[in-house]
Amino acid sequence: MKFFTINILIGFISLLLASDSSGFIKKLNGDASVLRDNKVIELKVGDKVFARDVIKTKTKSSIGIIFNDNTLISLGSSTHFVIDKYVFKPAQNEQSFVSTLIKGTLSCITGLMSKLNPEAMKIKAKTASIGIRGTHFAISVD
Amino acid sequence: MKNIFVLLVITLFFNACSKVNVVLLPEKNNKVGKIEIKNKNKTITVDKPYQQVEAIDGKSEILTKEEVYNKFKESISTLPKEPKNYRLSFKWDSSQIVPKSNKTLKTIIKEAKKDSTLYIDIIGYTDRAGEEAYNKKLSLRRANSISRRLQKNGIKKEKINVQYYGEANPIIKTKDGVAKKVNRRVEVTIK
Repeated sequence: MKFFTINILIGFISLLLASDSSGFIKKLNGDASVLRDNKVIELKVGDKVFARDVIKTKTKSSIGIIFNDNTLISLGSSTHFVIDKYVFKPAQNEQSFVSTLIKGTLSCITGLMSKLNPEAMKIKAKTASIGIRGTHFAISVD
Repeated sequence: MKNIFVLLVITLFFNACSKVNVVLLPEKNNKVGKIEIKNKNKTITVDKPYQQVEAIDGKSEILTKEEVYNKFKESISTLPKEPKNYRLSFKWDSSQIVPKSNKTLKTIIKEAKKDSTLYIDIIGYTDRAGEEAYNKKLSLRRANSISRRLQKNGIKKEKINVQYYGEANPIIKTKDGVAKKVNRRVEVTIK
């Protein structure tokens, strides 16, 4: 039964091989930018995000991202967040999502990634490595 | 010597200031997940609702819901809603949906038209009756027919992402050559 459920879930997710983006900006309050290939780009709702992006929010700002596997991540104000690695290819059974919260706050509801592979998702903060086995959580780095 | 002392004080000061707090929240259905924190040689498990663990020194406490929502107000209130998923069924060897799916298609169009909808994923599939290569094309025809219906209803092409996987990812696995209604489908995700 579990097998069928997972198959249904896979079906619902686009196996986004055509584009190599990791997700997109769904919500934005105030100002946020991304450091990509040594360039700072202001972010708007609908913009795609990619592996190796460094996302920064300003004071009184926050941002909400939908990743390809439907993992939802939002960042509070004055936050620095790095997408170190994002691989989601369920057809090839490859999943890995490694990110770093340098400072600030983050909330997350996990998506298909950690359902398919509980080892796939990891968030680094200072010297700690936080293994996410699923569902809803928040992290702050002061 | 004095410089080393100053450096030591600064280091201690920064270590004392540097805190990594991890808080576990219950899901909509009150299920609670699990988080494992590894720091140097220690592993700490977080598995209780509103449990906060300081990842560096390992201090654990249970917060109230209010304390958590106050601390993470900005990020929690900016979490996007989960994308909506829909499934449309198709007639045998055809890119026409079955009459039963008309209502779902209407809902999809309504949802897709909303300003809050940024992207729409459309993924075509077939069952395993017929040749694999033929089915791959059939799944594309199915996905394209839905994409065209959305565009006819004013939804911009740039928002639509069409994918097709033929016989792959069946809802119910069958042997090759077997016709299975439930697998003849297009899945639509509204993001």
